[in-house]
Amino acid sequence: MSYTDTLFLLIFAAVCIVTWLLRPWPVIKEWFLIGFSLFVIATWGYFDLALFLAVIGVNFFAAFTMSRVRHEKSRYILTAFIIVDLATLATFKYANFIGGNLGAIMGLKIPSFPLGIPLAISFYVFHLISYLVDIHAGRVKVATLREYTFYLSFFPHVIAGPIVRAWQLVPQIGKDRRVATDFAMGFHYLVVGFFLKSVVANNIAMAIDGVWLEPDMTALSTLDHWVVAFLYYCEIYGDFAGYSLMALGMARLLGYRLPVNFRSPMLAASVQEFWRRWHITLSKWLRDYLYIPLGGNRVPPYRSMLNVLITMLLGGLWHGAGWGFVVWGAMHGIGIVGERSLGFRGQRKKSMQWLAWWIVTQIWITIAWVFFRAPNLRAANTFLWHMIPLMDGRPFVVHRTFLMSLVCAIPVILHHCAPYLIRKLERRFLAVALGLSTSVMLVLNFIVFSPTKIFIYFRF
Amino acid sequence: MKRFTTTFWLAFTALTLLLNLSFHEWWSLYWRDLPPRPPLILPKDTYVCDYGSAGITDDCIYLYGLFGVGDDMRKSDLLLMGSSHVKCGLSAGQLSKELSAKAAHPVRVYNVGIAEGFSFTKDVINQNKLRDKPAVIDLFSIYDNDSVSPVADTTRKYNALGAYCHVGEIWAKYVCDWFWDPFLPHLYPKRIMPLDTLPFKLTIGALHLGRFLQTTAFRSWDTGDLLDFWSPSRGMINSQPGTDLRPYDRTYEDVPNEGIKLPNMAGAQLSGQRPHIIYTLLPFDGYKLGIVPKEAQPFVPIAPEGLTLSDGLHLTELGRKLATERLMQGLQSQGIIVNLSK
Repeated sequence: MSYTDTLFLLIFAAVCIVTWLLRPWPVIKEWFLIGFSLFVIATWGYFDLALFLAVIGVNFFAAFTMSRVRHEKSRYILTAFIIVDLATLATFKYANFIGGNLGAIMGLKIPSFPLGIPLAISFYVFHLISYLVDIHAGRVKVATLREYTFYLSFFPHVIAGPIVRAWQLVPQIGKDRRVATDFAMGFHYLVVGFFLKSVVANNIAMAIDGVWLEPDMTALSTLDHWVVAFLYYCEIYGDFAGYSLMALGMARLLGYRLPVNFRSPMLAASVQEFWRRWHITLSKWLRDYLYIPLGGNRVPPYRSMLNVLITMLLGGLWHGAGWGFVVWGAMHGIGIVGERSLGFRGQRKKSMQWLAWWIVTQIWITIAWVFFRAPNLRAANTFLWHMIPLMDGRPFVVHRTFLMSLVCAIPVILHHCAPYLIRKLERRFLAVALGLSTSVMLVLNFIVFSPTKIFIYFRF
Repeated sequence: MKRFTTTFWLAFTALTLLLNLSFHEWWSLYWRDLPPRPPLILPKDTYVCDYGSAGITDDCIYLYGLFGVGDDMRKSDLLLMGSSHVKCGLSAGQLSKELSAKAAHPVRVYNVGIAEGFSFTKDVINQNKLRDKPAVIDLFSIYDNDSVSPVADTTRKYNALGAYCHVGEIWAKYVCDWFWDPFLPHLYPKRIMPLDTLPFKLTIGALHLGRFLQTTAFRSWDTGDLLDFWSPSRGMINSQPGTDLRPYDRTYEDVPNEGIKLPNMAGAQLSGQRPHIIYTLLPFDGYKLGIVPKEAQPFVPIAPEGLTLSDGLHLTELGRKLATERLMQGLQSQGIIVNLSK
């Protein structure tokens, strides 16, 4: 079941009512939500559910054991179980990628791994690693079975994030913290998220999906290629930010708060700033559990830059088993290293320097998306080749279909401006503005036909 | 906090009502000229098997034998198998009645026509353990053996729970759209749905205004027969006349002149493991008997004279009635009915 399905939304409304009725009994309410979350996973496949339960079961045992032994011994257990978790991830997600590449290098025919990528494995493995590390570091206490299962399986975040740390969610378990604005804001987030996904991202995808499958890209002009790359940027933002907003909204409607995952990434004037605004929970995870343990900034500059590159490469690979994702990660790593080498420290907004950095950054990021989206490196290279104006006789012609899709991209731009508009708004008008915008988006959600497409990040 | 919430909901409700009422007032001018909606509460033996862009439910229902359909198929004495040609072009209910009358005891027939190639039908056979069931197979689906739609590919990846959810999603969409249909228009990008057939044409740039309800097909739980189609511009289709079959000298563009070949796998499976296979070929535009492979035996021909089509490929209700009668006569004349009655 996808979160934009009519059936899911109807069931979710019923779940909200049941949890509201169960609020005097938080334990029952949370077991009910655990049951519903497991049901949601099971609709994607029984094997996905079995693997999820097996992995979290093993890690529950690990966390329990770690809490019972001395700190030094706990370190060994931590290492062992992180290896087990990463090995599980590698087996299911990267076996075919590694096997295929090894086979190509060594000229062998390595049989492919028969099972596909299990649902949400990248996300729950990261949740588990952060949980075990935080227990070892004494940042969180060992959760009870209910808290632990709820934290890991809570349906708004289990499939595609946001990546929630135990200290962010576990303290909310067992309490009814719903405040008056939660219902209004939860509903607002849900409607906006649905709008970004269904109306914006799905309709853009409908227009540009074929371009990536089309081997002969010569039919498109240079500007078409730039427009398609930009539209993909808008599509993935609408898709993933939309999903994240829906997750935040659903959690709020049930009385829980999840961390924000996006903060106007198209306004970033550096790649480093982009990662403070895009998939924030992943970039924080990579910073805390990979970059800092590698030495972070407390090492000589060349090592620090190497750490950035390693972190971004692995961050890219986390998204998918393909060279396109590796190149995408590498481009972001090179971007950050380049900024540091050029001494970029974050220019003052509204200055010409800021504008220049913003343009360069956004162009770099748009180009990087080509590697993320293209089916393979060859297709990405061909696409990039056609983005060079000199390679085309009619560089400035734009196909009508893409022009229409640019209309779909307008809400993405507006969504980026929203925080600034809200800041300028007088406080007493805030509720009115949010209420009116929710209404417009709800009506558009109903009226505009949206093709069905699963969330892009559900595949990761 | 309370003031914020109250203001939020007041603003939200007021504008939502205003927008909906304005759209409704405007849309009702057009809506009243459109054919009435299909029934929401369907007779208990009927279900929505295909709903516009939302998807097809019978792929899931048949493959996983949902809602007892698996049992119905297993309990049947004869299965009608094939693509959408069989789904629209043969009546299991009619055949069951006539066979029962001949045999003087109930003979159950079930329509397993699915709008996919035969490789998907084979999955249905294997998953539901139908290998030993006598079956009438339309050869067109065997020609189309491996061509399955993306819907079927997705269906194969579900589990039974996922399949129930998929079916539930399509039905939920149908119900929601049914409610919204008189109140609001739906905005479709031009490339998605040609709505030119509506009695009016409303376009905004690359967007068409149309109705919420999309093309719907209804099927019977008891017999698997297609009961009716509903179209946003024409209403219920079965009450409307069809077109005559086009001349036979023009072979349907997808079927080669040299004829249908029974693929090795399908042939072996059908002849080796299934003792009671009867082949037929339902007429369509450009149909000719010459495309029937020799190894497809026993073969019951269905004469095309007088059969009407709804869209060049699928028979109308009247055409189906005649085709089923002719199939019955063919079964009878070849002595196959005797075997079924035992």
